[in-house]
Amino acid sequence: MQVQTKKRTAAEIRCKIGLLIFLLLSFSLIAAGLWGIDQYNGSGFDQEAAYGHIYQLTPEVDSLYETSIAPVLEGLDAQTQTTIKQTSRQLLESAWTEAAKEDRAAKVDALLSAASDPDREQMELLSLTYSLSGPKVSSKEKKALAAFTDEERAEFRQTVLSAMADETIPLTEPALSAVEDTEGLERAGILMQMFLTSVNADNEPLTTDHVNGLKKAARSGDARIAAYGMAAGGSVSWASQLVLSHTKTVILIGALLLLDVILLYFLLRADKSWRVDFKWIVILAIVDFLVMFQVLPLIYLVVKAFFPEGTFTFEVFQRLYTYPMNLGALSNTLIAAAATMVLGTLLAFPLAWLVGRTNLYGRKFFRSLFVLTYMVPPYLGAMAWLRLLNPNVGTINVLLRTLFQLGDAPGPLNIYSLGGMIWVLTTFYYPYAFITISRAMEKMDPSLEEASRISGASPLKTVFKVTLPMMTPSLIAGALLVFVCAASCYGIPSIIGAPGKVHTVTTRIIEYNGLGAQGLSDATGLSVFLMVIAIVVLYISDFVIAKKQYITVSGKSTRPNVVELRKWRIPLTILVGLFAFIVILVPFATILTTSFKVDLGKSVLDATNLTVDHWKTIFSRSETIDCLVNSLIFGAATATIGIVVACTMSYLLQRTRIRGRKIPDFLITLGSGTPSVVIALGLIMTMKGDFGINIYNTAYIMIIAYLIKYLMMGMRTVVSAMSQIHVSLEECSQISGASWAKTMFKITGPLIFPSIAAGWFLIFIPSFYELSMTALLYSNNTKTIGFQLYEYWTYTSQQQASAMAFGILLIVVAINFLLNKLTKGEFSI
Amino acid sequence: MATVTIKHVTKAFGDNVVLKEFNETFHDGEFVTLLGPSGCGKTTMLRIIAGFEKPTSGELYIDDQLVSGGKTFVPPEKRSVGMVFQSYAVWPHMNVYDNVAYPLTIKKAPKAEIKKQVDRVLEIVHLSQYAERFPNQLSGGQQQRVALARALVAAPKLLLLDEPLSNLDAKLRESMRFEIKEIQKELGITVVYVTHDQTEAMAMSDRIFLINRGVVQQCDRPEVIYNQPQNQFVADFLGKVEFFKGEAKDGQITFPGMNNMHIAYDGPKTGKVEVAIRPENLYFTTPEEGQLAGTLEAQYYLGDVDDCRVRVGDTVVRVIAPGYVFNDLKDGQQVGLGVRDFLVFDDDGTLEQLLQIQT
Repeated sequence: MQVQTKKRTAAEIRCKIGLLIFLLLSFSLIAAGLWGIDQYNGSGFDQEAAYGHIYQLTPEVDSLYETSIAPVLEGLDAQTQTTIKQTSRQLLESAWTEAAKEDRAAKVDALLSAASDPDREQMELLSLTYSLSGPKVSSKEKKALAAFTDEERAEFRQTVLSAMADETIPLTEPALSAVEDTEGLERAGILMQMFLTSVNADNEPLTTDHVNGLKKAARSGDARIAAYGMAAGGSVSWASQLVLSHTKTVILIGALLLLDVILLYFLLRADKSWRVDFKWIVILAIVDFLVMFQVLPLIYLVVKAFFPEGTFTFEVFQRLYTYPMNLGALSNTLIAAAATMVLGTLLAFPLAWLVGRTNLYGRKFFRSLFVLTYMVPPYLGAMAWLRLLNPNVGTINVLLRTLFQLGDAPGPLNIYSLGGMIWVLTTFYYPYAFITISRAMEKMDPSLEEASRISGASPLKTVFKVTLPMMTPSLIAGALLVFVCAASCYGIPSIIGAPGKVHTVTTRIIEYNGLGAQGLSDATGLSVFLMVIAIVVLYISDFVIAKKQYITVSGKSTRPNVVELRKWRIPLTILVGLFAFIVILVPFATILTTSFKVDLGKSVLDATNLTVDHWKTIFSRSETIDCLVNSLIFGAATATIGIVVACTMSYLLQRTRIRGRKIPDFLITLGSGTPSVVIALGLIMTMKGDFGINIYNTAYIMIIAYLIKYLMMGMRTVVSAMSQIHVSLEECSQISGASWAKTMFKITGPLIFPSIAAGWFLIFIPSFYELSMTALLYSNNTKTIGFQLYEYWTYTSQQQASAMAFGILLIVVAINFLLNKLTKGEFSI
Repeated sequence: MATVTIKHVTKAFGDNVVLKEFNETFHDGEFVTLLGPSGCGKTTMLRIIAGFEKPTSGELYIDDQLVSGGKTFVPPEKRSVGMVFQSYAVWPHMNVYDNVAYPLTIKKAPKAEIKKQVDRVLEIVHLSQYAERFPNQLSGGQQQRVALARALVAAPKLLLLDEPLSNLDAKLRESMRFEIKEIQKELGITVVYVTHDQTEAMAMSDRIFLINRGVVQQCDRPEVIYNQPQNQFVADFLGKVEFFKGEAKDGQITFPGMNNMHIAYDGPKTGKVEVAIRPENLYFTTPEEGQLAGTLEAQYYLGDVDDCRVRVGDTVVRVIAPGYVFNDLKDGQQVGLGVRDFLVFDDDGTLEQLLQIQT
């Protein structure tokens, strides 16, 4: 006994010492970071100064600056100078964005082929601009730039240099005249380009270090820019430069480490064995990731909404929620979400019952049809219904007018209305309720209904007295899911609502996001509203209703109870068929026919109105192909990372009793319940470098956003598969002499493989065609097919967008088919 | 109170015939058990009586009313029968009182009447003090009794029970067995009881219908079915039995597998036969006095009985002797075996097939 106590104490002491060391380490990291920031603040570097440092790369540059740029700047009044300096960075970026909007690769190609043109200077400037633009340069463009030989570069520079050296035509002259001819931003842009030219006027090719330095400087936050500047000036040591350039990252690592140490301490204390389990390291790694990319952004969002300038104020909320357009958006969102919830559930329950519990003709067919809608991007439905219910040329409207001879006035139905939006939201979100209710119905012991029948209740009475009350928790859960999905949907309101001036919270958030600094804080304020809705719903469905879920002892070998519809069988089948026809087949067919139309307003039956040009266009346009490739890569990356985490989590949840396994589980659930736009907005605001990580405008930020939103889909699939495999199967393998790893590989792995594959696709598909988050997070090089489709629909050609949409639809159906084959029919979505 | 007449009922699911030509009458006030291995068709028969399945062909009458057959089909709710399900099927969203009151509520009986009847049946199943509880606050046995009370509350003329005790533990199962029997006697209702547990069937039934592969093998009173099985399957399914191949000739049966030992036989059968001996119908005696003689190979002491293996020639014979003989016997000892009773079947080569249980 004594020995045991002693041992335990020794382990405890060891653990505590270890934790203390890590605690000190985390404190020192935070302190070092804070010191770095203090140094930075103390050194008086502001953004302009940092820019100055970048350009002072060599002494020659100094002199060039003196001789060529400074006079230009001096010739301007002080205010203009400040404006130029302040806007120069912004300008460069916007200039690059502008250039990027056109086919930049083609432009570079053209310039290259015209190497002897007098436009060389411009070309060289452009090449420099590209070399500076770092993350904005696509690999294609880099290749194009690499086609410049060093000799050529030298030649171009020589041209520039000689032009500058030429006394008769000093660069200042054309520069001045250019400056005088232009105004505001454009003027500043020219100056900036001259500025950059002067940097390279030493006729030396830029060294890799210089290029990298410039790239990094252009890409990263203030501290690093300053550090590079200081390094160039030789005013700080190499070591402090490192700290200076990474201060925020250092603080971040320190803070996460601190969190880990605290969590680990509580886990160890609760566990009492004082032995560090490797599984905790895994759990902490997942928690760290989620805290970093999910909890921090969400908290920051809320904080920013109440402390926009660092002090507490209701000002943002007051402004937001007294503005009529926002109030309209709020009420629209609530009305639309509530109506969709009610309508969707009212549709879903009878459909689930008819398809699952009666002898309706073609039950299986209808079931897969309804479930398929779940996998189709909602904006696709919006596009189709827009074509069908457009007040002027909508197919259904034209049909109704002809049928009832209503004359040529628009209508009778108008998609550009709240009602239209509710209709489309309903047709695309009722499957969420349908699936939830169907699953619960499948799990329900059929003898519960039989007991009611034998007690004298008719089938219909049984539905109302037994089936419906038993389904209530699932019904509420399904309804709430529909509510939160409809409230946080962006695709449908943006396509239908925007032209009809029916705003919702999501469309307002995305509009605000494009309106500079105040817009961002307004977007934040609105997203808090969505977040509150989502959290309330999540709490109710996961923590209140889940506890009320009835668990029924299922009798074995009872066949599912099939209710004979008798004389109602044919009428009900026709009714369900009609519903499927209107809600699923007609929209899909509309998308297909739209993609072949020359003139949107004319009928597809008119042979002269048919063309395959739109399909040719989308398949030949490199931009579309690039977007498709992006989508596939992002989707695959998200799904692959996601499924690894999902499998790890499933193992921890289903096969271990390790303390703390519920923490990442909770965070993942929270993430999936958070509206997409809120996740994206949070990431935008926190991942620009202010917290030590800068992944803004990269693929990473999109993959992370997708992960947070869709990880849960994969995890649930794997968890439920694992819960169905009895532990004894694994224990039996181990008792037969197989190691843990071998058991996982030989027994558990093969058994849950279909679910792992299904989980992978369940993450892949929504990531593949995602729109809401992409609309906030995309950059020119990370556009996805979903966003491209949206852009085409809004700005270019509805026909081409339809062709793309139908392509997406085909891909989704193909994947579903593939999944069915891959898992031998065990799993299709 | 009710008779059930089953005429030529056959049921097939696709090509799979689960009931063949079922042709029986269950009498008024009778406790009938449908017994058989899993998948034999007994539950299907019960569900046909309840109205959850339609027979593929044949007719079913409850009392004199045709309920299934031809174009007639009376749905379950119109058959006025009570049923207890294997999984109890107690509705989790209602408390005990509401669960039990349900059949009367559906009938729109007056409130006072409902209360009176529910109180009465809850009294019968000893659940009066649990009326306000919800099913998740009840044990398995209590839920089972709720299901029983619900089946009884509308005073059905016919009560169907589908393996109602199979989810209970052994002790509870035994006591519930007698409770159900008592209730049936008290109310005098007709009961059709489905089980695969032969002890349950023996203890409760007036008549047992032993079914295998969709065919009734034998139906009779428990003691008849046990002592006079009509075929090897029946003998094998009820109780323990061992089969020995032998030859009947000149008032005795000779066993080639047992050094041609023989036992006296005055029955009508001659030629190749199969002799079924229940292990408890063998007893130990001296080698000289025994009809059979052999070596004691092993003993398994089970307390109340001593389960022994005796090698007779090339055959190992199982003997179930009273527990107290354990101390008198030693492994390897030469023993004699007396045969109290045995059954003789023709050896028509169907034994293997009969014993095969369809699952």
